[in-house]
Order: sequence, then structure tokens, then C-alpha cells
Amino acid sequence: MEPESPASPVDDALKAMLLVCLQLHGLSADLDGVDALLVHARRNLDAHLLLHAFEPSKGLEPAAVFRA
Amino acid sequence: MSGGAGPWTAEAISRAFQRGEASASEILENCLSTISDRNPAVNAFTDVTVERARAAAAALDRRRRKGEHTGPLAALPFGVKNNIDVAGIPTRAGSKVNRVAPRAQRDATVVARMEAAGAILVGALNMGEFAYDFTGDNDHDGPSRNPHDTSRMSGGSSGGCGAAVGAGLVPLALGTDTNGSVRIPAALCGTFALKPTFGRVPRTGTFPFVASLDHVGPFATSVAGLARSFDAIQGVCKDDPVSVSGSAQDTHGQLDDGLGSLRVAIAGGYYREGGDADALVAVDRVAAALGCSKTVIIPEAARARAAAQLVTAAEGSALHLRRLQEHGPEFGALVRQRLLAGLAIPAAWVDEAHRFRRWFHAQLVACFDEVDVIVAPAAPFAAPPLGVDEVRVGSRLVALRPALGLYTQPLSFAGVPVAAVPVWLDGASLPRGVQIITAPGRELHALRVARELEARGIAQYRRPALAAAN
Repeated sequence: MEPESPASPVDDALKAMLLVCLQLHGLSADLDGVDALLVHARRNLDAHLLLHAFEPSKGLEPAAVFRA
Repeated sequence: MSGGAGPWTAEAISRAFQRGEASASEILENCLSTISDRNPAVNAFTDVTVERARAAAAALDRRRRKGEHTGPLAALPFGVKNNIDVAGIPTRAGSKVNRVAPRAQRDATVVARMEAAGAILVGALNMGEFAYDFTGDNDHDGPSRNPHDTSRMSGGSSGGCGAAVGAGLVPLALGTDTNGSVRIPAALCGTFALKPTFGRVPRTGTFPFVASLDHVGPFATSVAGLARSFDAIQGVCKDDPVSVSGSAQDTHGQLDDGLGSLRVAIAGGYYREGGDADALVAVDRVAAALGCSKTVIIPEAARARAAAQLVTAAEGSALHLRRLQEHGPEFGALVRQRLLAGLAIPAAWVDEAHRFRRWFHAQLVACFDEVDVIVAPAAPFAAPPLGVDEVRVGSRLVALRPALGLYTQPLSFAGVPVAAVPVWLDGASLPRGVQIITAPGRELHALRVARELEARGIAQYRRPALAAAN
């Protein structure tokens, strides 16, 4: 899924985030290994980056688009 | 109607029952015999509710003998995905974790509504674990298999529904669709199916996956069966917080109104990319039959899919947090990995995805100012072999699991109704699926178009010649 997130530094950050989040929830990556989880975390990050880069179509006010 | 070779559309079975050519009990025994013969090949049923079904059939026969009304679905056997409660059996939702859960105390609303319309529940159906699946595989129950080639995937997560209806074990089934889990198995297994408008069919008594995206929808061997099922299960339910009010539609009674003045267009842009050539050939065949030459671009479909992915991973992970803490090793590895990774999604990302959803919904609904119906592929390729992780699409090798939801995810994210119809290209041994997309609340339009395609032989259910079990 475009845009691809950068490689290693982001992976390191994602791994750290995964491990902290799991620990906070009383979980660990022991069963699967953090690299297996990283594949999915990367997909989630890529989805977020694609969504976050959204530019509203011409004529649409960003405030209107993103009004909760 | 013996030997498992009887009529397998809802209309044919209904006709036989209404004319007195077959009793409900005879129809049921034929169905049970067919399940016994054919289910081992496709692994669709996890539970067969023989005694309950026999009691229901006998009651129907008594009512008919008394001249009482027996309902629009009278004597039609159906199965339900095992994330839909059936009193007396555990709602395992395809998991090992839920195997020790208490048996369901009561039926889901949709099961009760099907039975109130005269349909006969015959069992629960295999599914992807906790519905987090597009393949129909299951680490605990084994994969449901494609009835047209049992070495191939049924699609998921309602894989047992696709396999059971596709194989002709039952003429009707109920599944759930969060990102495509009704439409993908329907496309891969060659059945008709309907993902209704979000909130139109209550989820009360179903095991959730992503509450803000979950839908219940029917599978059928014919469009009439699909319409009858939808008519039976639609309508407000106070116990489902997203259930929408409004009067129920009689879609079955208007199915044969033809295309009339319905304006049909092909989905362009995103929906012409990412699939193999035959995915588009199937859409073009449907479009040609409908006399459609107009193209509509559904704006930002790729971002809608990305947003759906985030909402799914985050909500699904939150739902299963306690199970992950207490039963982590009992999850299938892939499902566990996705759920654990989902726990690290920041709330701000999910909030942004929901805000985008509102924008996308408005944009998609606006497309229906110009047209009434949009046609698009349902799956980017035909049923892949079991056990593969990647498939070749043109010159590209793509990851199988995420790719399967390419065309379905944006539409369930918006909540618009979509019928899936099976199309057989010349010389093909596997079906292709085409989505018939309409505006919210306009299921009738999708069903009328599906019926027209069925009547012209463009969309077609084909019962495969499966080998019976020894």
C-alpha cells in the first residue's frame, strides 16, 4: 500500500512501540516474535500514512471534511 | 427429491412444498442426506442440528395439514455462520478459545426471523477464526473448501456459507460481512449474496468482530432466495444500537420489475486496477448486458480501504484483549499476530479513520445522484489454491490475504448495500463475482439488477458435481 514508510529506523520505533503496548496490556511477543508482529504493524502504519496524506478535493474545506 | 439430486433453488423447493409434492420433512431428509454425502468434501458444516430441524419440519407439515400459513420461506433449509447464535450450541466464531464458552441460550434475531418465516435451520457453518480472515481457512476446524475445486479456497470469513450454498448443501445461509466476508466467499464459490445497508439487518445475538463495521447478510443459490431471506431478516431491532428504523421492503415481490429506468455505471479508476484481467472481463460482461457505458469514479477508495484496515485492527484488538491475555496460545498464529499488532494503533489514527469514513460515505452517496447502480469486481482473482500466501496478478506477485479485500473493503466501510452475483466466463472452471452497488436503503435496486442478470443467464449459480463421501 502506498506510500511506503521508510525502512529501519521506523521499524525500530514500531518494534519499541509494539513491545511497550504489549507490556502495558500484560502481554508479550514471546509466542510469535516481534518480527512477526512488525509485518502487521507496518501495514497499519502504511494505512495511516496513506490516510493522513489525504488532501480534500478541490472546493472542500478541510475543516468541513474533518469536522467531528 | 431423493439422493441429493433434487431442486436446489429456494423457488423450486418452495413450489414443491406449496403444491404438496413434498413435505417439509421429506425436503429436510433430502437436505440432511446431501449434507452427509457432500459436506466431507467441502467441510462447510461444523454442527448439524438434526433433531431441531426434524421438529421444525414436522411442525410445518402439521400447520400445512391444518391449512395454516407456513411463511414465505416455508421448508427451506438454511445454515448459519457459527458467529450467529443458535440456542444449544456454542458460538465458537471459528475459534478454539470459545469452544469452552457456554452454549448459546437463545437464537440470534436473524435466526428467529428466518424460522418465523418458515425456514428450517439445519446447522452452523465453518468460518475464519473470529471472522478475521478472507481465505476460509481455519487452524482449528480445517479450511472450508471451494465446491468447484476442493483444493482451492472458499474465501472468508464466511467460508462455510460460501461452501455450503456453493456445493448445494443448502439453498440459503446467513453470514457476516465486516470487510467483505459475505461477498468474497460468494464470489469464490459462485453463489448469490447480499451485504445489506449497515444497520438494516440486526446483529443481535451475533459474536462481534468490529461493531462499527459488522453486517449480517444472506447467501443463496438464486436471487429470489436472496430476496426472500433479506425480506425475512431486515428491520429494526432495539437491541442492536446501529439498527436503523424504517419500514421493511418487500423486495421479493418487486424482483421481476426489470431494469426499468435504473441508471447503471461501471466503477472506474481504483476498481479497474489491482485485479487480474478476468475480474474486469466479468464486470464488462455484466455491464454490456445492462447496456451500460458510463463510468463512475468512487473517490478515494484506496484511502477508504486503509481506514477500514485501521478501524478493523484497532476495534478487533480491543474486543479480544482479555482473550489474548488469558488464552493467547489458543489463537491461530496469524489472527493473534494481527490482533497484537492492532493493540499498538494510536487512538488518533482510529479517530482520523472514522472522520474519513463520514467524508467517504457522503462522497459515495453523492455518486448515486448520477446513477442508481454501480458494477465492480468482487474479488481480484478466482479462488486461489489452499495454503498459498501470495498470488500472481498479471506480472506482480501480491500478498494474498490483504489483496482479497481490495474491492470489498471500501464499500462495507461506507455501509452501502451490495449484491454479489456469480459470473462464469467462457471455458472457466471457477466462477468470478461481480458487485452490484446501490445507495443506502436501495437493496431492491441491487436485487432487481441481479435478478435481471440471472434471468438473462449472465449471472448463474452452478451446482458442482462433487464426489460423495464413501
